[in-house]
Amino acid sequence: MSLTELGPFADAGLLLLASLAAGPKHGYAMLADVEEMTGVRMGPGTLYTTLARLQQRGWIEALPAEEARRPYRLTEAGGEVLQAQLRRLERFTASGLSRMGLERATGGGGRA
Amino acid sequence: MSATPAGLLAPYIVRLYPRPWRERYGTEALDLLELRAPTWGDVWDLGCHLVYHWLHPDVIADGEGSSADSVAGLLSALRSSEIVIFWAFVAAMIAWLQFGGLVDGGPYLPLVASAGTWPFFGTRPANGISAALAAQTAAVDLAFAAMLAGGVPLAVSAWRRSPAVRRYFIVPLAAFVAAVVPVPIAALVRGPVATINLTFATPITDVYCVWFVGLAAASALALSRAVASGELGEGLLRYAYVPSVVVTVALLLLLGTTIAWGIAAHAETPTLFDAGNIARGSATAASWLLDVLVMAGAAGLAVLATIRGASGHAVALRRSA
Repeated sequence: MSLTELGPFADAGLLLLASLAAGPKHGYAMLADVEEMTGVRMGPGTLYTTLARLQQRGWIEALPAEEARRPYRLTEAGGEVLQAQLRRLERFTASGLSRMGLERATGGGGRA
Repeated sequence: MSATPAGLLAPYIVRLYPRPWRERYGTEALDLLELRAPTWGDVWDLGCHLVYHWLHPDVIADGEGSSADSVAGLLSALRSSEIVIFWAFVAAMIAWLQFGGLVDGGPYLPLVASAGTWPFFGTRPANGISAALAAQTAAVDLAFAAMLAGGVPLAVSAWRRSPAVRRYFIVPLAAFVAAVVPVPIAALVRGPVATINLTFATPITDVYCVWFVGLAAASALALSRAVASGELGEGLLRYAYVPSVVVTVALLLLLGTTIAWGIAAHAETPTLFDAGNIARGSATAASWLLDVLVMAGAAGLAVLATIRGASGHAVALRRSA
């Protein structure tokens, strides 16, 4: 299982999985969270297409709707996919910084 | 709801999404648009994904398309794709017949010639016009063969398995008679059929051409209704998708060869191609362009339908495995 299965929606999938890692959220809360985490304003079309892809693979699941809003939560499989991808990104970040001759930032936004 | 133009437009785009998508996400998507003032970027994003969902109905399938409703939806998408390709075929063939009016018996006829014989592939065209016409004929033959290979089994199955839809088949039979009967009558009134100019040159042939197109459209509509409402097996739908893909390829070839013909005609006989009696049967750039536009629309529609049908075909293949 890998996020690359999502094809062009892999990046959006990573953002949504990371958002749901903090607990169940409905669509608007996910978009706000993603924007706060990354500065990326995700469109509503991208949101629901990616949610469908994530649900299709069983990486997230829908909870009972609260009026018009339906929360989603990360499943165990989704958590494993997210963790694996974040580990890969961690190794990539460390490798990239090392190649640039920069010390890797270890919390709190350190610099070279 | 946001009163900005983008905010007013966005909910309408949501309502254009396929029904399964709206049933699952429609309510919450509209609620989300209430909470967050949509921008033009959001409208663009919704529009792009609208196209994506119409082309990929499998995205909303539960559990990788295993639920009965999802499978039925995908198979329905497959069937409607095949019907759309049939319609695209009919439109392209009507444009091709009109194109034939430019060439058959027209001023281009003397230019169509062969320069000799190829060892394995028949005659060798003498010029670009002849080469394009030969390739175009091959594309039309391919389209017809694939349409017969895919369409006849569907029509026969609808006839055999669904007695209620048999009434639809009366229309193409009646249309055939209605299309053929005027020809001997015209021959009696105006002389032998061979002398009738079928290139939109006279008011009576104008009327006949409109009549012919109307009959073709009525027949296509009746046959597609029969296939749409008939009981068709999953295996048959799966099979028919393959010829429908071939039809799509043939329509693209038809478009390409018709464009090539225009380029060749413009290069080889510019006075004939660029001048002329526009849209009245003589070979003109305007009537060629009209045919190209119709063929391009038909081919584009067929390509979209082919993409949309691919998900249903994949599900049908998985279930047969």
